[in-house]
Amino acid sequence: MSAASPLLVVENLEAGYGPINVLHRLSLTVHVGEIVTIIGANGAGKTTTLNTICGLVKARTGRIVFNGHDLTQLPPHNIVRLGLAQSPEGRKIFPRLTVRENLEMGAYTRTDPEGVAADIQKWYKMFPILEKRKSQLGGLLSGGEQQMLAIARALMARPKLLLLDEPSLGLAPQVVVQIFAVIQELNRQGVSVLLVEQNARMALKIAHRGYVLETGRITGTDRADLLLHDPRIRQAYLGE
Amino acid sequence: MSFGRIWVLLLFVALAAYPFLPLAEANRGEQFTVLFIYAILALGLNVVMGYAGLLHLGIAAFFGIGAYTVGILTVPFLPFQQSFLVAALAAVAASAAVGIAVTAPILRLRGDYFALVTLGLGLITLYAIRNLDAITEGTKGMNPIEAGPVPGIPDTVDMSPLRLRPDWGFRWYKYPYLYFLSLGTLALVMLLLRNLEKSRLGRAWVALREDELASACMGLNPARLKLAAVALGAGLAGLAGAFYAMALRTTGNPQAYDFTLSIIMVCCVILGGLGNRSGVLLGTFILMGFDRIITNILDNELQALQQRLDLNWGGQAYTKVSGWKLMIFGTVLILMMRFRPEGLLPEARHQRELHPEVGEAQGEAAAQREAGETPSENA
Repeated sequence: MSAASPLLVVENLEAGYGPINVLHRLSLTVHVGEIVTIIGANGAGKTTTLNTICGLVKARTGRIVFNGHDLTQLPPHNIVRLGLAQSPEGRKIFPRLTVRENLEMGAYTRTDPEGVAADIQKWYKMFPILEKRKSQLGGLLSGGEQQMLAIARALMARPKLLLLDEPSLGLAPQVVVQIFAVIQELNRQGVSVLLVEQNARMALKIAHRGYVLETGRITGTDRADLLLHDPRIRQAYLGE
Repeated sequence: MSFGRIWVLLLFVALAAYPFLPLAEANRGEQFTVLFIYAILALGLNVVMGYAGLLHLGIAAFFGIGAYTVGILTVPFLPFQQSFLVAALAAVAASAAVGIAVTAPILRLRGDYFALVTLGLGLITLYAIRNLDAITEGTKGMNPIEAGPVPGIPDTVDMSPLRLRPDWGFRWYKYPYLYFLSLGTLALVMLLLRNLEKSRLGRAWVALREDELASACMGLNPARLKLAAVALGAGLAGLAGAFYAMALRTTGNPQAYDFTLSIIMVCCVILGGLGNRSGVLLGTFILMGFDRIITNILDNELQALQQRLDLNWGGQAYTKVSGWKLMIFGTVLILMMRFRPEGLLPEARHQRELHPEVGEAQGEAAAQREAGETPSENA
């Protein structure tokens, strides 16, 4: 497994808001082609981890290296250009842009109009509902459709690594199943994924490896299928 | 081309033809010139408020900076004495530079804080103009401003032989030059903004206005985008100020650049339709036209009526329409906000949000159009 090269390496990361440190010496790795998930309770620092990686929160100490580039001091718009795209928590689609315009905004960093148009068609194929709704305002989509739009929009930047923040948030169980199937399909097509999720069971089912985050510290990491059967995890995060 | 788009074109053609019509009056023409100038100012404000979504409460400051730059560069008692062209370009540059310098440190502020800083800037600029006696002549205003249009061209081209009616006044030859120049500049600004709306920058502003965090995740640089909007808005306001000083031949009392003007401009933009160029144009023409032209006409009519009926109401403010001006303003705005919050000519996005049923219909129509052009298996 370690034959795969590391795409993202986070070492001893500390970050937080005001006087409070949220992340304490956090380290993790994502290899090319992997789905890696971070599971943890509310307030454990999952979103802060993703936001620090993509530059929305400044790292205090530690290092974030992505594909050979040091991201630690870069602003978010430069990080996107390096091939790391985030689908943020709460989806954050542009409510008054149409579905198609939302997708076009996702490709803001790109300068190849033909490639962008081709990619839009590609993701329409993958998410047929988006094509049906392409001229509607993003804000009028259902929650599940918005989540698909948010993922497709992030993919428009042609990222090497996709950061997904709580894609199951506020969605009906059946829709969650659909979304996770999509994530798995994307991964099969070659997109590496770092997935933050409260729905630990679903996340561990599709992930290759998992990290357990508790109050800003990584307290465990293993292959996802092993974590799924770890009695400690089952008790704490899977409600058994 | 639908009527919604063609009326702007017709309006410009009509205004361009106006000086040659038999009903044209020199005074009215000068009043129209001021309307065009305010429209440029409102379009500048619309870049900041409508496109980038930042509440700007100090646009009058840039209007003033533009006017005083022209004043300083052209009045006889200062050593510069440049032509209007040079002075106007300097006015645009100065306003944009002040806009950038003041906004750059506060770009990380969001929402209300940005509005507060612009409000403060408006007040400081006004007090600075008032108290820098040595340069700005304090409350007297700088005058006379009588620069020629471009270096080498005399400003007193006598166009009198061209006039169709002898009573258009001896200044006739002068007013159409500023009239046409302001009208032409307004048309150019409208064209520039139309192209800008469709550009990458225009779309980036819309996204930024919708959601700053999501925009950052898409690789947009929010700080630079905001700065671009503020600089462009300030530059247009400075251009308007330059024309204003030229049209009045003086910078006038600094009072002309106070908070009231900033707020009236915000009203023009909102009344017309936040983010919609044509709407902002219409809003400015209606509000400022009412303020500057229609109340005067009504006052005169009322006066004439009194004389005919042999009534003597005296000269009190409440016997004139102009005395009720602010009351009428306020009532209209309240009614607008209640019944048509999206403005007279709403921006398409705004319209679809506030009236989903209309928006859905538009969306469906657009989808069908697209489907017709590019047949797809899912449509």
